[in-house]
Amino acid sequence: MKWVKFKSPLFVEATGVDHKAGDIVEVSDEFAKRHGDKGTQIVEETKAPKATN
Amino acid sequence: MATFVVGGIEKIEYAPASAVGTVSSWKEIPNIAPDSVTFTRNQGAKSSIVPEDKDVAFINFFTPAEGDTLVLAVLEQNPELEQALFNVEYAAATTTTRFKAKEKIANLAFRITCRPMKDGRKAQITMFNTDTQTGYANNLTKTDAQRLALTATLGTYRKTGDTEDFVYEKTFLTSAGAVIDSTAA
Repeated sequence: MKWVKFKSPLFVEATGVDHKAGDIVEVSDEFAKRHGDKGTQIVEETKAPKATN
Repeated sequence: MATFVVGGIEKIEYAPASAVGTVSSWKEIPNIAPDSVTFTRNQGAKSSIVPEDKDVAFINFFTPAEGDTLVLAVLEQNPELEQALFNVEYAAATTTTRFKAKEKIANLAFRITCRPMKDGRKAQITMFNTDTQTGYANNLTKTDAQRLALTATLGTYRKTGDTEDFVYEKTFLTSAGAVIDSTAA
């Protein structure tokens, strides 16, 4: 699994999730690869957000 | 079940053509004339040999087609668009466009964003490399506007990493313009 930040919006048909630009979510390695630098370039890898209480 | 319906015009944009399929900034063509946009994918002419002793073709020949064409008309003749389409000199100080004798074949890219037709999806058709000729349509009359009449003949492009030539691409987006990942779960 990898944490990614969305650079532009993406609707994922299989899950029905409509990701907005700026969203930071944990995704599968395959998803990160598909939409990463060597894919669609819609997401960029980032660090996991800090937990808040 | 996803649907893939294409129709209507939300906007049409243009930019300098790219033989490598990369356009950095698009400009919108405002005020497209109603019912004027036609995208034609031409098919090659067929000829056949029907043997004397038979009534069905023995072999068919298909000649390569003319290039695909995009035809559209524009209600407005703004100088910025005219400079892209015609061989002109434009003086902003007097808002005067002088049209040169030499005809221009404009090498332009076009991007058509269709209207959402079904299930909140719309198509976006991108033609990266066209040769575009422009004339006028309609008389100068009290009840209609003279239009810029564009005919774009599509050429090929090849993006980095491609091993084949392509002519145009069609992408389905959400109505808000988001890319859709249709990969099966």
